[in-house]
Amino acid sequence: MKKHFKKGLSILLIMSLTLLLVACGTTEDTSSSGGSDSVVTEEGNTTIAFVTKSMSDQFFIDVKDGAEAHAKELGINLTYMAPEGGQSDIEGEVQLLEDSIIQKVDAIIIDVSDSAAFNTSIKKANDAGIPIILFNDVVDEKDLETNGGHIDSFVGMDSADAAAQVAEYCVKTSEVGKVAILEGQSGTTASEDRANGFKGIVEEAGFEVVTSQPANWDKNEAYNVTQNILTSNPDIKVIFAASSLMGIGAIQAIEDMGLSGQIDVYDFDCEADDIAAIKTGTLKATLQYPSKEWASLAVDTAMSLIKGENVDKEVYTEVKVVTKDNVGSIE
Amino acid sequence: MKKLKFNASNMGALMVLIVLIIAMSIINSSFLSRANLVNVMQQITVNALIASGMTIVVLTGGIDLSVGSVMAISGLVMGKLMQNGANALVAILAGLAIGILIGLINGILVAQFKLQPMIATLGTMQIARGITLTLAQGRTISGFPQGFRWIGNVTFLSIPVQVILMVSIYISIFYLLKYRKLGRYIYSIGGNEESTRLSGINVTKYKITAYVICGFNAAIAAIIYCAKLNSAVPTAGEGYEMDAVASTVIGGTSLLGGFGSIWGTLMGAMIIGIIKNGLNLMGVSAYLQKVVIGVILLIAVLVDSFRMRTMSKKK
Repeated sequence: MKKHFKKGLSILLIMSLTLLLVACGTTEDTSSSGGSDSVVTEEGNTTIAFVTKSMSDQFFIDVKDGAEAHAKELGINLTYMAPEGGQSDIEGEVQLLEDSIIQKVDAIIIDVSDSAAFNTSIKKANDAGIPIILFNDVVDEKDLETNGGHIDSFVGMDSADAAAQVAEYCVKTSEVGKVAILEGQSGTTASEDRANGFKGIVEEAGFEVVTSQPANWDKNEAYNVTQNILTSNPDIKVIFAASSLMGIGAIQAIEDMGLSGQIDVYDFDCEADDIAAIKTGTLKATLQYPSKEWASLAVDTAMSLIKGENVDKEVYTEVKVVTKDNVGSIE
Repeated sequence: MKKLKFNASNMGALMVLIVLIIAMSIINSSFLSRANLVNVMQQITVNALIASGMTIVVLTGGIDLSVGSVMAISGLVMGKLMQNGANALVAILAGLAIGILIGLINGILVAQFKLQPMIATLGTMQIARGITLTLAQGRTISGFPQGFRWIGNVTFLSIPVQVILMVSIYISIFYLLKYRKLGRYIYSIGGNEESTRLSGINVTKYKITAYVICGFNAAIAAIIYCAKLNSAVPTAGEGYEMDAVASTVIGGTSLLGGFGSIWGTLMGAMIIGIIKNGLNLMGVSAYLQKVVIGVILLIAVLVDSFRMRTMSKKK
């Protein structure tokens, strides 16, 4: 009786497992994203792997849509991937890169979650003759070159310059006073560039940056950090948040503390909440970068490299400071 | 309790593994390529190492949730030392020492102070992570000397050194569990702690040893992780305890303790790794991968509970 149970259970296990896998296999084949059969053997069936560090941000959702739509227009296969553990799963993202190399895709676009951890794998891609395009985040190129690797192009945003543009609007609009900055993840290039870009311009104009704290790109954390900052520095007049979620979190904290209208908030990303906040005046300005066009630009750069054309080492996407003056013209 | 190499517990895992490999190679032509197989073995190394230590702790009826944080703090210490000019060997010894130290703390909390293993190791997990993040100030440390990096890159007879290291550790643990007193006592403690204590065996000492080994293995995993990625990341290992437990359970080791085998854990780690790798090759979303692994884990636990019930009926 006992043997029966065990045998039956094991068979059930195997059957359900196989079923699950076959189901996965068939669903993936029907969608247009890359599967096993898209390894380039057919004429004109180019495959690009787009590896990002997270799937859970509005930004990455837009990038995915933009990239896949453009790939469809061009008639090529695009596989969009992000690691299971999100932005902090560096090993997971490296694995996705390595798996793409094994798949012998025609080009790899990647938004790295760390500036050094991917260099060994990038070299492998170089050796395999697969063009590597960096998207949004940079790697430590000195370290990469000492190991004989290189990247073919970087498609990104000049974050420092973009933040400086927001800062210039702040200098024009806000009264000189004390400033608090909400960073993303301290130590990351994106976070540092934005914070420093803003800080540099406002300090030149006489503002005083009293504190700069990380809130890990998270709305809830930004809320708490803002509360704490305002409790210990009640005379702050300007807050700059390096991302939309953090900016909205800060605005919420300001409201709940009864300080609405007394503090000017600036942020980044121009998401739907930002647009609404600018219209109501709770947000003074944000920065828009067209995520979908940015993704398409990356795909085009990849295609040029596949065709063997020359591309710029650095390709920048357009950015725009959005304020109450031009918010009407945004979608 | 049985502790043979191939008993009922890992028969199931073995069958699943074989079916999985067959299924994957049918669905995806690049799966069985040499490059991909080497790739998979490399990808599972870190988890397999952590899981090997976890298995020993689970065999005593406990659990160690701090392994991911131990990996991170060990890696950070090694990184900081090398950044300040220490040579690779010194750094590695320091990293291993950290692993042993935290293992010791965990062991004392559980065995001496009789804290619930899940709670005790949850505490050390948070503390270790917090210390790591503070020391690192959120920054990754990179650019390690070649004397350290070779561990992550070099192959010997075209097998990566890290894989050879992992397999050697598994063989050592197998030997330990089967042929040494420590191994027998570990199974005994997990099977029935009270009667083990009553027969005069120093349960406290052997439990602590189990946690120390676990911490040590997590530190070895840190060496591989940092050598492979050429960086020490303060957020490394978040969630790694989950994959380690999953590998252990899928491999047939019972969470109640006293039953299971180390080879089962290796198979469990391979199953998880192959699923992730295969699904990546198929372009399946990472979220769906979580679902698949979760389902397999549940099935494994159900099988375990059936087995426990039928075994006690037999008595």
